[in-house]
Amino acid sequence: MTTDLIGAVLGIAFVAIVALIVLAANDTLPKGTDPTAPQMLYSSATGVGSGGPLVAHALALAAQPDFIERAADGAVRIVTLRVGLAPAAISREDALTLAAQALVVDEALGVATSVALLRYQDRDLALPMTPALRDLVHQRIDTIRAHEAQGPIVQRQDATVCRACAYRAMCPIGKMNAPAPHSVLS
Amino acid sequence: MPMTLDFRQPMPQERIMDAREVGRYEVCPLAWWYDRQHPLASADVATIMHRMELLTAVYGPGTQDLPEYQLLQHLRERAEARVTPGVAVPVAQPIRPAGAPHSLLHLVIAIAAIVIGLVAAGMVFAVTQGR
Repeated sequence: MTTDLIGAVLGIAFVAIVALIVLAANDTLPKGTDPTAPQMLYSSATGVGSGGPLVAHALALAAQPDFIERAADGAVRIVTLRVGLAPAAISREDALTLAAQALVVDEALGVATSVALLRYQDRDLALPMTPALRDLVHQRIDTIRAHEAQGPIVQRQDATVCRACAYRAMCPIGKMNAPAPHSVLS
Repeated sequence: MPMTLDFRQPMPQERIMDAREVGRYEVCPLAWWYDRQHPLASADVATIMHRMELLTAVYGPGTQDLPEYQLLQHLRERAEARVTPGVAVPVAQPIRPAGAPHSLLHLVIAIAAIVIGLVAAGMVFAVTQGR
């Protein structure tokens, strides 16, 4: 009986000593020096890198991404935070918006954005910033500028887009595609 | 001394466009246009809220189904985004806190130490039992 008690006490003492050694080792290990941790270049939430809107004066384009970071391999990533679960793919609207943001970031911060991430609760959706995508955004910006004064000419639109549009009750195409019988205007 | 006339005109200032407009235009150019041209496009949140309340007072409980009400909601969201442009509500800590990899290492070391300690305790116990 006595030997059992001695054995148990010795065992507990041994575990306690090892735990103390581990705790002491924890305090002596260097913290925050992980070379693989991304470097924060900009954050609109915490104000890193001004945190305010970024402006590309050459394009007369502004953006305020959630944050921008440089990975250990040097790749610059724009990260946009989203609520909810990730959809199957990045929508065309998001793709163009992210690519336009990348153009702004490139000029404003003097970097070359590699990828834009949409960070959902379950996973990230990545959009590589390819030259073709950048060209497409440049084209769209030129088109938008051309329509600044007179407005665009639209002949038809996808009905699913109209059904989700807040302007459908006042839009001639929206009225055709997605009639709103309860509208005040109808 | 010859006089020179300076015919240079100041360049018209281009409007600074929001990057989100590019995506908006891509989905529907008309919606982008309405975003800019609607009478309440630049109204503040309080004004839009007042309109929503008026609409509710006139049309009662079913107001939220009216496209006009949904339009005001859309305009209100845009107005709110103007106040804090581009700031999304963080759903999770996006940046790994400093030293996070070490925390993982510490956890592994601690678990290993506890296992070793338990084995050692067991051995001591077995030896003492064997006497």
